[in-house]
Amino acid sequence: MSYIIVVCILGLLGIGFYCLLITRNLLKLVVALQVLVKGAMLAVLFAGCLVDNMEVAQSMALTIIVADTIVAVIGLAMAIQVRQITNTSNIRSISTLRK
Amino acid sequence: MTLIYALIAVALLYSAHKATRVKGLLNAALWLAATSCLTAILMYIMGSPGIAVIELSVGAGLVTVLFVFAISIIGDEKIESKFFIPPLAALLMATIPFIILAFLWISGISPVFKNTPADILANTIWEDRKVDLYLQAALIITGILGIMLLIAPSVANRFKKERGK
Repeated sequence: MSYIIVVCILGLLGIGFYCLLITRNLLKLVVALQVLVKGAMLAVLFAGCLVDNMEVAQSMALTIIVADTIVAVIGLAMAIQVRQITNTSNIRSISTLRK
Repeated sequence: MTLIYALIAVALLYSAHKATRVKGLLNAALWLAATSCLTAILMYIMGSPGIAVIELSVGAGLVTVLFVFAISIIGDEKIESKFFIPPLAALLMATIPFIILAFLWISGISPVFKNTPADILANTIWEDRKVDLYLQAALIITGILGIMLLIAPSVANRFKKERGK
């Protein structure tokens, strides 16, 4: 059971990190970040299980969920603005926003 | 029972992989929702049903709706440009967690999982971790303001164009 959860955590972190490194679409970046954060959230809860302190782990996981959602919301809003200004969702286009 | 956990784990990793690699943003959003659902199941198994419910409603519900909204505004696009980092180097960097896992496995350091449900989460949140609540409130206000500043002008322009027609 422990190893299954560890594999899940490391797998989510690995997949999210890999996609974060190679993707160029702004929306896909947000997806990769979401996957990465899910791995981190599971890791926090797992740590709470290990030290038998689930209350604090759950409280921190709640904060992570809120922060993750806000990051996704702002990331999507930025992606919309970048697409409407530069006509592309390519992450390289952000550097062309500078006047 | 272990087989069920293993199946959930495989499904979780498969859906996460598909969410990041599938073609089409709408498909990616749907696979991300599946990843959220499976993460919520795993959280429930780990003894935190409250967080699992919040993850299910926020991760699989709200975030998916936001993604669909964003995709409907900006549409899908195939991007053809060079990678920042070569895929092989990225793959090597992403396998570092698995190398750590292999090291743990070989050295025999096995984490002892205690499936003990939390006493009362509300007491911890409202009494011991009040700072977290203030932080969450600040984050939510920041998010709302950010959305208003970023999306509002474009939506207003769209309405103006539609009225002009």
